[in-house]
Amino acid sequence: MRPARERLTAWALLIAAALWLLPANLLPIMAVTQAGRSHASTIAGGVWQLFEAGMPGIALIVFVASLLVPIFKVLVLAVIYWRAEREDNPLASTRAYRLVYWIGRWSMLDVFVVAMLAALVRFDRLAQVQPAPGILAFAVAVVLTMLSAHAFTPRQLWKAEHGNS
Amino acid sequence: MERPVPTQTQKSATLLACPDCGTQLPRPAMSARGSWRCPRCDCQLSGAWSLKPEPLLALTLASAVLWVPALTQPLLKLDKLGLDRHASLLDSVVALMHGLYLPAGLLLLFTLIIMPLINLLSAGRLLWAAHRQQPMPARPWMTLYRHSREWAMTDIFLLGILIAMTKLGDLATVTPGPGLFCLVVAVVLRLIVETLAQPEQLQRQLEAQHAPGP
Repeated sequence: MRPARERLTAWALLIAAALWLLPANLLPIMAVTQAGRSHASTIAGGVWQLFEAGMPGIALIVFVASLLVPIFKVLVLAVIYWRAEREDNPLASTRAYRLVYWIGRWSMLDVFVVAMLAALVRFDRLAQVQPAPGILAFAVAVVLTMLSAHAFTPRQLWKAEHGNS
Repeated sequence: MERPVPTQTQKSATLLACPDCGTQLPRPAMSARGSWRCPRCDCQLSGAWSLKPEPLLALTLASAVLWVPALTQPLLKLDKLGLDRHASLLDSVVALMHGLYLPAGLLLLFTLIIMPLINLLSAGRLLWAAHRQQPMPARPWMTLYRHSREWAMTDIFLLGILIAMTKLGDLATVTPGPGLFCLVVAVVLRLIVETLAQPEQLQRQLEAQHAPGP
């Protein structure tokens, strides 16, 4: 049946995304070289640096967009897919689905920050920013969660006869 | 992703199926005001404002004109001990286009250049058809418009620039470049067009023009 196959694709993409989130969070996402000394930072490290630099507001935005949202999105989608077969509260699930569908794209934020910094900070030996493998894993994870949400349609949560007779 | 099409046997000018839950709903009058939501699943079927193609077409055109300098002009300028560096949006995309990071670079190309361009083209094509009272353009245009709304991420890139600026604060002197100004205005105009030209609403308006209405 078509809905079952759709859900299988959605599950497969979601599990792949969850796996890619591990290296994304554990590996450094960029390396800053300053006066000959290189310093690699992870996503969590970058948030902490912003917080220490006295910018708690910006640190909070980055924390939400790059740490909280990807994990939250994977968990919420997993619950929605799990419940889809015998859904008893389709309205709540549909609302949750729409919410994670639209906030998921904001996770790309860190990829853009690294790209901008890598393009800009090119002072050879004086100062340099280079991407590190974590950013690639992170980009892959974000795209996979978006594709997973695409593979699933909220139509599956609604039974045709229900309230329409 | 293809969405299930409503049963063709029931196809009529007065009923339409909600795209999210498939409920058959009576079509509202074209002149109806206020946002319209599906009573069953709360899916937004039209925005709070009526869709006037001409002003939106003008905004799309303005956004397209600003798009060229926004891509090529420097977004940020950096000054460290008398050395100058600047980077445009294109430079940011190219920065990740090598070796291991090629997939990330391609993703940036897709979300920051290709998709925003498709968004401008498809919105322009559909609004032009609505303006000229032409029949519905070929189906791919509507599909492209729907997808590009999600995958064009220039708005997120703007927040990324802001965060990059704060991160650079202690490293060097940062000044915004002309490209940044163009990009901000282009993004704001695109957001206005997207909010006012909801895909469902636009599609119904185009279909209504095609149908030999009363």
